[in-house]
Amino acid sequence: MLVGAIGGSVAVAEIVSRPLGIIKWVGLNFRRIGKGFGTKSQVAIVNASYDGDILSPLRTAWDAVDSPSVVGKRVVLKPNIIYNLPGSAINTHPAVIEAAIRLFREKGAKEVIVAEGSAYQRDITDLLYQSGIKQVLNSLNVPFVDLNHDDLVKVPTKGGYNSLDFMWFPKTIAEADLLISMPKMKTHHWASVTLSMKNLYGIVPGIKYGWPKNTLHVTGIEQNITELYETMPPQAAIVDGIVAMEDDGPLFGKPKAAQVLVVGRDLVAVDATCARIMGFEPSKDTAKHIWYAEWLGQGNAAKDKIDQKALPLESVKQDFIPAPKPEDVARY
Amino acid sequence: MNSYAIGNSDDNIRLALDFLVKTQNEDGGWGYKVGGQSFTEATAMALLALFHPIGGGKSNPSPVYAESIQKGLLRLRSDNHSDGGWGIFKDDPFSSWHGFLATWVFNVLLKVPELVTLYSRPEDPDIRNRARGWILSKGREPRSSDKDAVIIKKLFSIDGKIIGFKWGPNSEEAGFVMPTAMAIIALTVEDRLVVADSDVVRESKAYLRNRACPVGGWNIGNPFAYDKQLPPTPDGTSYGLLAFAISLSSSDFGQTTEVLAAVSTLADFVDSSNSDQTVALGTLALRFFPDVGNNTQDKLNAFYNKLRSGRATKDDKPKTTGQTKDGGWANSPFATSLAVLALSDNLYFFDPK
Repeated sequence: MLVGAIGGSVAVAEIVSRPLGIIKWVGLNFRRIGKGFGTKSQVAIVNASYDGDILSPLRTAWDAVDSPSVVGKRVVLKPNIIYNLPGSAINTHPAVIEAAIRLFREKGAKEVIVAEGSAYQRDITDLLYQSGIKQVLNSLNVPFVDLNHDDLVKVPTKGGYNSLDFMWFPKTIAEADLLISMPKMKTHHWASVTLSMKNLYGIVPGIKYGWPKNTLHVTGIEQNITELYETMPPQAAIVDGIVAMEDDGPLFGKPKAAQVLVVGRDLVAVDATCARIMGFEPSKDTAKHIWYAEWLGQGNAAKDKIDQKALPLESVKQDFIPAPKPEDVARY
Repeated sequence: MNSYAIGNSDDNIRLALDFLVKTQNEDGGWGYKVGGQSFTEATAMALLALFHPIGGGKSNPSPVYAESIQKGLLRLRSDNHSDGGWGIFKDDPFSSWHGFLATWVFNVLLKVPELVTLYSRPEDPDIRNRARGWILSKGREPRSSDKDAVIIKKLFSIDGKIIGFKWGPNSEEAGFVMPTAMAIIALTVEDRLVVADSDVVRESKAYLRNRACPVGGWNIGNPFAYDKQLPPTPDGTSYGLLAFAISLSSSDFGQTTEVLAAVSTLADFVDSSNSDQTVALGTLALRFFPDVGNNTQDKLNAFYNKLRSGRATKDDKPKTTGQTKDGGWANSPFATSLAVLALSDNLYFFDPK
């Protein structure tokens, strides 16, 4: 009977672990158990406005959490730059990028670089001008790296979540001491929300993976988001939620004034916090990649595992209109 | 083949070719930026530029150009995979879209008599044939099932039963506009009159028409997302037009609406662009549609002026940099190669004889 019970347990474990393989699944559970006894993740929420001083609230948020030191480091800022549609809230605002550049220089970074690998066009130059970002970079003498055409480095995947043994990463990313994911807070018709983790798709070079990075969609959105998060250099997040996007995101949604910046070094916790600000609770059905990342032990998504700093979440919570899901559109 | 070039560009081209020679990497290839890693696409475009009669494409070329071409071709031959394709560079074991550009090179190499005499090797026809085979057998996307086609139609308002070519090696990947356009060019250059009317090229052109943006032009290949129009982009539109430029045939008669609309869209993009690369690529595409819509000869001349000097007219403030003192554009062998093809009044790269 005991042998049968053990056999039954192994059989259940094998079925549950199938997406990863049993050995990885066992290791994962040890990591999750370890995390259960670990410290909470710190996430700071502050108010800000594009018309005012953004550096001060950003500094407040950065200092409020367990931010990594940037002294002597090469810091790469990765904003979200996709399209220029007048009146929209698609791209990370140049004022937020400017504030981040100033912050990290103030904190002693050796070098600050802004980099993006836009998914919808090969040549991003005009988009940089139209979005106002180029003018900021010029005024502060900050280089821009087009990640889609950068030199590439072969990087073995660490998580094994996306069935690839290795990926090609832009050299700028592989050699960064710290990568700052700077997304726009938006809804997303496939992923429910696109925040600091989904923003990492933009580091994948189009020169290898195409425009858009279709192979990542084919091999699984959640799997690739979590793999990128795990395989990349140390990160932190600064989310531009000053004017966010609701409804038909990530391109055609309506601007939504959330008036927040959200900062932290655990991107899972940052994204879970942002999702809650937007009125969504990460689960297997909503913002699944956040739930999945927590399940993999990559970070904390549960409310009681997040130490909220500066503003309380309840004071900034809103009700974003969710993006229509593909299956809802396809039904009609 | 209808085409326009401003003329008086020999000096610009010569300086550009010298730039390409100087910026060739030790391994024989070229990158997207000076000193950058060699990539198959950038190498292929540099070779196409260097094939110019002012450079290595005449019967007694300067040894400098000849040697550069030999090194570049050696790079491409070495990187050719056993399946016929090419990876993005020598360390990439998976064949993908860069092979379309490499195939284009071999098709031109094997057609222009001077190039055949000076640079071709006995194995080159086999390389080209296997490359063509790879494009046709592995380069296309899978055809959607009837059920999936219904869903794709609802979500993206496109016909999933018409297939194009894909970026990557994954057999499940979707097709997109730019690789489809590149594949059309790569295949058609071999024999324009025959291939332009082949089933594959005809379906690929039908794919491009189906993926055209309602306002004119192309983006990556999604004219709609749900019921919202996605805007065109200069690169998608340029490559789409280049594909039609090389493959227009009598079978396209009466089906040129998308092409005409794209010309207007691209002219607007080039007019307002701050990017040397966009101006180079856009002018290269627009030169094949002179006097179509708002693409008048005066406008084309303005684009050429902008390409060369960064400004459309003498009185304009520079919007781009134009050709720099080192002979290149945007410190990029890739952008420089595009500029050479745009400026050339010899169509050896599109209509090799």
